[in-house]
Amino acid sequence: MSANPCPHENEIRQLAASGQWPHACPADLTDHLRSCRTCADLLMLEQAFREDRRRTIQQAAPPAPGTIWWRAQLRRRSAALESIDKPIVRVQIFTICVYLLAAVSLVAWQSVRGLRWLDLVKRLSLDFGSLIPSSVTREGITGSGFLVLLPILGGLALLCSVLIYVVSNRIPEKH
Amino acid sequence: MRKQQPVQWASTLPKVFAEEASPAASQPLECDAFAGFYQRSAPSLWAYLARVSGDPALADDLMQESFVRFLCVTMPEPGEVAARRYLFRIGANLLRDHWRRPQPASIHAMPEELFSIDGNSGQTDSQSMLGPVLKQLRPRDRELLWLAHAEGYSHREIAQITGLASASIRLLLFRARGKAASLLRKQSKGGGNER
Repeated sequence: MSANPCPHENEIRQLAASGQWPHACPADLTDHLRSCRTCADLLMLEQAFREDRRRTIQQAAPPAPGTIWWRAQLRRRSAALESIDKPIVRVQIFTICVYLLAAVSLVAWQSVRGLRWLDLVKRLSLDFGSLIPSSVTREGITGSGFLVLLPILGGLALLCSVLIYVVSNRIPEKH
Repeated sequence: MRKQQPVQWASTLPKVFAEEASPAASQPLECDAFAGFYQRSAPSLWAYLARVSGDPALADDLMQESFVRFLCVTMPEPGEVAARRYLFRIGANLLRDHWRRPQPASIHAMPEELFSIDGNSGQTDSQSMLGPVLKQLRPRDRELLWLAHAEGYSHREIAQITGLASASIRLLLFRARGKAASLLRKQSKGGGNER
């Protein structure tokens, strides 16, 4: 048997597809089928598969098309909402990253420069110390106590950002 | 890859909730048109999935999933023939994904029958002489033979559905055909001897 197609293959397939075999088969094709193993196999398989398909299709019990349509609608809707949410999430993540970077830079910069900007605050006669809890001011505003306060404020701000992110993420689910 | 469209909130959100805007909004299939297409295509897709997988329950799931996915995408070509071919392609991919997916339970805990394709297809096989032959063929051979001989697809169409190279379809199909024909002949001889 060779892999090269027999020139009669298409005729055999059409014969099987139209149901003309064996009664309406031309005599020359019947003779060819006796001599060509490839075509005989092809005809046998065509008939077997078509008969099997006919029987299998009878067993199919597909659900109502409305159910499928409804499921697709739900999926489309959630995909559309997801596509809207994606840019928001990206912006939020970017904002948090920038915020963290700024906070870290500020802390690093201040630790190197030694909190000189507090002198300016004193000169302006602002009572900045009254805003800080007494437990922190005990060590003095220019001491290491302020370095404790700064991360606390940063942490609070970060927590607020996370809360905003969580809340804004839940809003579309309510619809 | 599909190019991502810029999203405009003001225009998209109201349409989403009014069921107007969607990724498939441009496709011509409406609910009634889909119902007709579904009635014509669902049985043949189910038969394909059931015979290639050998599991009617799996075929039920995959058929529904194929149609849902079909409705959620924009068709590459217009026309019902192209749509049916695309549907078969989705089904074939889902079937392949199912085979690739790791089994959830321990392999030792599962009954032996689950691994053979004759699990739930007893009813079909008892009526068909092709059933035992299909069980002995590899999934890819079953897939190719079904698409070529049961659905009547050309080599080019089979290549589009299966994702195989068009040039290799002829050889693969030739080998699968030879294997199936010899099994079928052996079976019919065996059946004749039993009688």
